[in-house]
Order: sequence, then C-alpha cells, then structure tokens
Amino acid sequence: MPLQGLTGKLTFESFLDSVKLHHRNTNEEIRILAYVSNLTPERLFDSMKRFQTFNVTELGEIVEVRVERLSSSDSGSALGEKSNDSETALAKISSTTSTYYCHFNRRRGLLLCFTTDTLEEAGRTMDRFVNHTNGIFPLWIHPITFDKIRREIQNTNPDSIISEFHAHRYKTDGEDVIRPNYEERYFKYMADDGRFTLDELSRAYGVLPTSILFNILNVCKFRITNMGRFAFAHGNLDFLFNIINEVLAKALETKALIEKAKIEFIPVNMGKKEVRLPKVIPIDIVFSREIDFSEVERLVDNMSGEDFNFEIFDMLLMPGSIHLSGTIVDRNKNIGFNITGNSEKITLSPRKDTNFDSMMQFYKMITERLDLKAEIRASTIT
Amino acid sequence: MSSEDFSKFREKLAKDHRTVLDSLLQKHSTECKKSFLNEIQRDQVHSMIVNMCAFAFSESGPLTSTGYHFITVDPLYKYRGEKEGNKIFDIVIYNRESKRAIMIECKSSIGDARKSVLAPLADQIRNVRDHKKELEDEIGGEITDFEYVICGLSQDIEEVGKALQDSNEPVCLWTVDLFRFTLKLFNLAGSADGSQTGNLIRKGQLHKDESLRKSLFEKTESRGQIEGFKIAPTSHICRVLSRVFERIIQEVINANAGQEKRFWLHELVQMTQKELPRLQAEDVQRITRELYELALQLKIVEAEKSLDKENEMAFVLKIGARSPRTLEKEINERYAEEKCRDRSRALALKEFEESLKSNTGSLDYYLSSAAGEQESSGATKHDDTKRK
Repeated sequence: MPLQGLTGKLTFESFLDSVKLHHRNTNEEIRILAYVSNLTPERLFDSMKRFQTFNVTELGEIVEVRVERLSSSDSGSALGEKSNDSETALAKISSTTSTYYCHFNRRRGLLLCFTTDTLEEAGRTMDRFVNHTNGIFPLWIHPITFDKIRREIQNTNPDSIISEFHAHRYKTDGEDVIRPNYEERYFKYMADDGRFTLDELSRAYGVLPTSILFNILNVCKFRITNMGRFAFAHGNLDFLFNIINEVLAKALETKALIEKAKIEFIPVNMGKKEVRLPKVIPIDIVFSREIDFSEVERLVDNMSGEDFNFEIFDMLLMPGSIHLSGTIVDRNKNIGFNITGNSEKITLSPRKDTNFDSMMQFYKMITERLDLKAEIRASTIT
Repeated sequence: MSSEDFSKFREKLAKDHRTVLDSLLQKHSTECKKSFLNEIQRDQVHSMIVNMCAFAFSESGPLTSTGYHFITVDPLYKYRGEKEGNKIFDIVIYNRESKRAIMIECKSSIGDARKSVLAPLADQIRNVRDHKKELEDEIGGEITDFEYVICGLSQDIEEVGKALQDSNEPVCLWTVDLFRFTLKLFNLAGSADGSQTGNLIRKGQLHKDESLRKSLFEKTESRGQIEGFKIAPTSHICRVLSRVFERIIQEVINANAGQEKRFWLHELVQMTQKELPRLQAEDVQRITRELYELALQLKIVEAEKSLDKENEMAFVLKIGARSPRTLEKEINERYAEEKCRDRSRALALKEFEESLKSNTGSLDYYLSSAAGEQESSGATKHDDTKRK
C-alpha cells in the first residue's frame, strides 16, 4: 500500500509520525526529494496548483500532490497480435496515481516531498515541475562536498556498509589515474564491500560518488545522492534527517553566495535631482586551472543536458587567453543572465528577473563539463 | 544592374564564362557576408568596451570610490544630428562634488588615429557644449567642467597617443584589455611618473582629479555587465533585433506556454524599452518600428490583422525553433544575404568585365564566343548522335 490517503490538518511532526507508522506497518521504503527554494509558500504552492499534471490538496503544513501517470502495458498481447479495437487499445494504457506529501520550511528554504514511488520515477515527475519553475532547485551539492560527507559518515560510523554506489568521473586536470583521457566514466557497484571499492575506484579511475546506499547496522539503512534524492529503508529516520540537514547547510552556502548577485537601480542625488543609477553585483566562477580555448568552444556549443538547457547568444569568443562574453538563456526557465569570461574565471551578471536557480544550474554545468574544482565566489568588487 | 538584368546577362554568357561569373559571385558574396559578420563582431567589441567603462563607474563598480558615477550610454543620442557619421560620445560619467562630466568615446578599432579619432573630436566637443543644458538634465546636476576620453584597445590607443604628442586636442586616453577585462589610463608622454602632469592637465590630456588619475593608472578589473546597457541605440540593428526578439521569445512566447508564436506591437515596444531603458518614449517607438520593419523584410515575422484589437498590430514569429541563438543566426544570415545581394553582383560583374578586358579587350567577344559555343555545342551533340 503506497503512502497515500492522509487527510485533515497536519503539522510536519504529526505527518512524520504518520510516515513512521506507515513504514512500521508496511516496511515500505520512504523516498524523500529535497529542494531549495526562495519562493514564498503561497507562490510555491500556487505554482504547484497551476502545474498541468498536479492535483494539489492542502493539509495544514503538508500539501498532497497527486499525479496521474499513464503507462502502456503490452503484457496481454501476443507477439504480432493486432488489435483494431480502440477500447482494447485503451485498456492497455493503465493509469497509476503517484502521491507526494510536501512540506515547505520557508525559513530554511527547504521543500521536502515524501513518496513511496521509486526515486527515478519520483525524480522524473517532480523534476518536470522543478525544471520549469523559477526559484526552486534540487538540493544539489558539489560531488567533492558529497564525497566529504560520505567520508564523515564512514568515519563516525566505522561499521557502516556501502552496499551500492554510483560514481561518475568529471572533468579535471592532471590526475594520476588510469587512462586519464576517458573523461566520461560511470560505475554502478553492488556488493557489501562498496566502501572499499569506492576508494579503490576513486583512486584508480578518478570517479566520485553521486549516489550511495548506506547500511549502518542497528541504526539506519538509507540512500543519499548529491541531487537531493534520499531513501529510507529502515532504522532511525532522524538519522537520515541529520544527514539531510548537513547537505542542506552545504547547499545553502552555495545558494547564499549566488544570491548575492543582483541588479537594481538605486536613486542617487546628483545635486539638482535624483537619478536612478544601475548597481550590479556579479558573481564569479573561478577555475582551478587555466582553461583552453577549445574547451570553452566545446562548452558553448553544447550547453544542454538531462537537467539543463542553456544557450548563449550575442556571443563574442576570441582566442588567445580567451575572451568570452554573451547572454546565457536558461531555456527551461525562460531566464537570462550575462557572462564574461577568460581562462581564469567566468563572471555572471544577473538580469532583473534572474533567480538563483538558473545560475546554480549553470555553476553545476561548469563543474560537470569544464572544471570540477571550479569554485563559486562572491565577486571581489563590492 | 537589377536582379533580372543580371540573370539575363548571365544567361547570354558561354558556359565557361558563366562558371567564371558564378564563382566570382560566390567569392564576393562570401567576402561580403564575412565582412558583415566582422561588422557585428566590431559592434560587440565596441559594446564590451562601453560596458567595461560603464560597470567600472556603476554604483557597485570598482571605481565608484573616485566619486564618479556612470550616468548613461549615448547621452546625446537625441542630438546626434542627421549627418552620416556624425559621432556622439558613448558614455557620460559625472562627479557631483567637482561638478565635472567626463564624456567617453569608445573605439573598437582605429585605422588612422588622426583622421578617424582626433579630427572629428572638435565637432563632437562642440556638440557637447551646445547641448550642455540637456546633458545637465540627463545627469541631474550642474556641469562646470568637461573632460573627454578616448577609450580603446592598447595597440590602437598607442597610435592615438603618438598622434596626440604634437597636438593640443583636449582628450585623455584609456586602454582596455579584453582578455583580462581591465581598464587603465594610458601613460601619455610618461605622465605616470608625474613629470608631465601639470602640462598635460593644462592641455586637457590628463584628468584634473588626482584620485581618478591614481585609480586609473592602476589596472582596474571590470567584468560586470549591466542589463539595459549591453547595447545602445546606436548599436548594430541586427544585435538590437536579436536581443529584443530574445526577450519576445522568453518573456512573451514561451511564457505563455501556448503553441502560438504570436505577439503584439505593445509587447515589442516593452521589450525594446527593456533593452534600451534610458531611451525616451518617442525614440523607443521609432526604434521599435525600425525593428519590425526589418523583421518583416527579413521574413522573421509576419504581420497579422488583429481581429479583437483593431488598432494594434500583431506579429507571428516565422522561425521554427524558439531558440535565441537560432534566431540570432537567422537574423544575421538573412540580413547579410539581403545587404550583400546587390553589392556582390555589382562587384562580381565589375571583376568579370575587368578580367575580360585584360584578356581580350572586349565583352562583345565573349558574348559572340558564347553564341559560337552554343552553336558548336549543338554540333557536338549532332556528332555524338552520329557516332552512336
């Protein structure tokens, strides 16, 4: 029985009690999707209500989101069997309802959505909403930070077992790894010696984990990812919440830096009258190494991926120690911002309607496609 | 020669000569398009230099501590005059304490420093002085003193510096480094060591303000971009069109989430206003009209008769992809095609005729030889048939 059918006015605490009870009764895995947002609860839930496939009901501090999903089923039809009957064809398309219970903590800017759907399905469903809504972003943390958190969990829980992990290689320079030219590596590993294998693979192939299934005996079995997707299998749910808090703290550090970027027109008295003059605070993405012209060329020609869709226009790109300038458009969110860059850093200057999420996504893309160790910094000019 | 006349002329040519003309046309068309793209790039470099100067003195910029404020771009746009090539300064910055306005002219490239920079300066300065009152209105403060600046790439400014050594034009020189994003006061006649300071200040070739001099002799990093000043009303029309239409796509068409690619004239006016925020309403209206006329000419949009709003024009975007980059590419290519068509035909024809003259001395010879060729080609066909 999936987690659904809650009614009445719920507080977050009473909702968590229901989740724990449900888990005790069914032993079902609870999946949690976490997002950071700077929207007001009203705007966030209003966006959810207006989102095409969402059916939203408010339950006090919790919002229930029901999503109808259509999936075709061919199980009943023999190979080569033809059906002209439209009713039969329709019957093959089954509809399932996914239910998400979402809580938004405005103070911390954290949206948590609980479900019993698989993480992949839940991610797909919620990502459609998140990728097209301004002011919300998955609780993403940098793969290096994620790996540090992984090590901390291991150090404080020496008996912990990693029974599954996914690890990717990102673009870095000068690593002493096997066949360093192979920059797009991906490993999925399933065995209880995962913590050792992860270290071995990291050293040998330069990969970093992005999803880890931890089993801390007598404490908690859970999955964490660097994209704000978590799963609770059994044990102490509060243990997982502590980790989510730790991830949140890191994500909020990045968000706070990005949110320093702004543009406003401020009144300045010039003697005879006040005039409104521009004040722009940009942010920098500082590379860990000198970037080549060809790398920048490749980047600007291919800025779309699974969860992002950027484009650059009015671009000026000159070889040498590189001059890059132009306007970046986040085509998923219909938002733009301006950039200038060279071999050392890229500076992002927001437009009036630029929100933190598009720039965070751009930073994520730079770390994945250009320089894993690139750091986001408040501009040195104040 | 009209398009029709050119086609007729081409048809009359012998096959070999037609091939020559076609390849000349191809060559000139490619060159012309390339030169158009260079024009766009020069305009982008110009905007970049303007933005580097503007951001440095903007309210959070690295040179705000000098007391100078960036006010606007193209400050005398309204008073630019109708004369072709009549130049207005690109930026004005202002210090409310000293009541001094600095007018900055940005150069993306400089050919002959004396001819293209120093000679027109007197007219530019006269224009500024003639419109001091209007400038004061724009700035919001009284102006008791003006200084003038030419800002460009190091190698170009060095040339201007050389030309300025035996001249008395009252102009200070700044350089930008587009790769390091730095701005710097040019060390005219070794002025950085202070030995020439008094002399150069008297000539108006160095800033009177010591703090500005000191700050600008240090390299200042200026990387920020100011929305609304990425382009100016005098920017290349293709860039203005691309930037305004990017907003139409993002903020109107995509935001409405429908399948229709329709937008209204008032939305186009709004987006023009966003890209050129300091422009007066009548100029916004005029530039918007220029933009949609060009868009119609390039078949980027189609005009639609509005059913429910009789007094307002509606447009439908005719570009398949809702992508600003694709749109920009289409605008540039179609504009280049349009602009280059007549020019490349004329150049191709000229070169063709010149080559004929040098080879045979007569175009008639080629036309008669073409007629002869047609006859002989008929004969060859006949022979071929016979052989079969």
